[in-house]
Amino acid sequence: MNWSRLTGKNRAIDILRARDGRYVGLSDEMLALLADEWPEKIRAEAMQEALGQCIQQITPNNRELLRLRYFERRNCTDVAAIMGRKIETVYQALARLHKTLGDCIRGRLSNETTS
Amino acid sequence: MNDTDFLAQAMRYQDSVLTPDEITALAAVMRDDPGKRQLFAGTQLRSMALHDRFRQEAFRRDIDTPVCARTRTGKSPRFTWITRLIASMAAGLVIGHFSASIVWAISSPRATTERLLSLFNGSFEEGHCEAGFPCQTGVWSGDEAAISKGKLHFVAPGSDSNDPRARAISCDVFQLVDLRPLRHTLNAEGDSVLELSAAFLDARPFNTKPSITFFGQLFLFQGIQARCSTLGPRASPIRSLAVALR
Repeated sequence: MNWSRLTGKNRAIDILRARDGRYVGLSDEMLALLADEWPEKIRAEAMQEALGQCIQQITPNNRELLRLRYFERRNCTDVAAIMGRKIETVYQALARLHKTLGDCIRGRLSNETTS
Repeated sequence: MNDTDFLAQAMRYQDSVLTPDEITALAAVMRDDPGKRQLFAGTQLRSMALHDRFRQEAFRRDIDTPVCARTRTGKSPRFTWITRLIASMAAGLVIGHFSASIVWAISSPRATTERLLSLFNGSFEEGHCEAGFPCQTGVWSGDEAAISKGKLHFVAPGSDSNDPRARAISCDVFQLVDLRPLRHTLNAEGDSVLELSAAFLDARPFNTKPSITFFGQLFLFQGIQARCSTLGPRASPIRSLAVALR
């Protein structure tokens, strides 16, 4: 994973440069706390597998929403314009989708553990 | 703050639209609630996983053998081995309005904060785009495209060399980059990173349908250049990395 951290660091530096050195984000302390919540690699792979199954259950419209946001990496302003929705609707829809997918993934992982 | 409201705020954080005060408030919620930290971290991870999932789907396509530029016959073979690029770039697509500029860069652990060098002809400052998969390093080659004013303009999507009747829906360009001269620079210690960044422009009127997705993909080869040139990524790439760009 060293390469990904290195790439991430370089990307972060690029972003900082683009913002004239101003960093607007969570503190180092909070990022360290969040790092403790990061799953182990083996669990991450299981989650990826579960995600593949859970994503089959969402509607085509929601799938397009996720595709625009996370595949095309458009911000929510663009997504809202493309899909003809209000931006707050997009934020709420993404929040619900993440909750749905998170619950689905946890459920599948739990079933795998108990079976 | 319930989970949905918290996640909506996490979405705004991903969008970088939160004010410093809102970020402080978000951090305070997570500092006091381990469950919220877990939710936030899980959301970030899921966001990356979603990207990877869509990327895998887009690239999960039949692979055929590309046609080398110098041996190419006929008009604009398409490189289905890299991707059919996205079905949404389908019929009726007005082409000739897309442009891209690409920068190659290498960084090493000894100088992680700066780009050590740019590789030869990474941009579109001069020259022209040849047809077919490139047979030599340092030239752009692929589907029909033109280079002008520092940008590459896709002119026409290529047809499928294995299925000429299929609808052409993608435009691809490639460049072979010889990394061997960099071995001495990069083998000192630890990992090195090869980075490909690209800027794409869809110059059509806003919200024109169908939407288009742009990709940048790195294939890493080890072996004889001529074989790589002839077979393209079918020459057993030892690594294939892809990113989607907008």
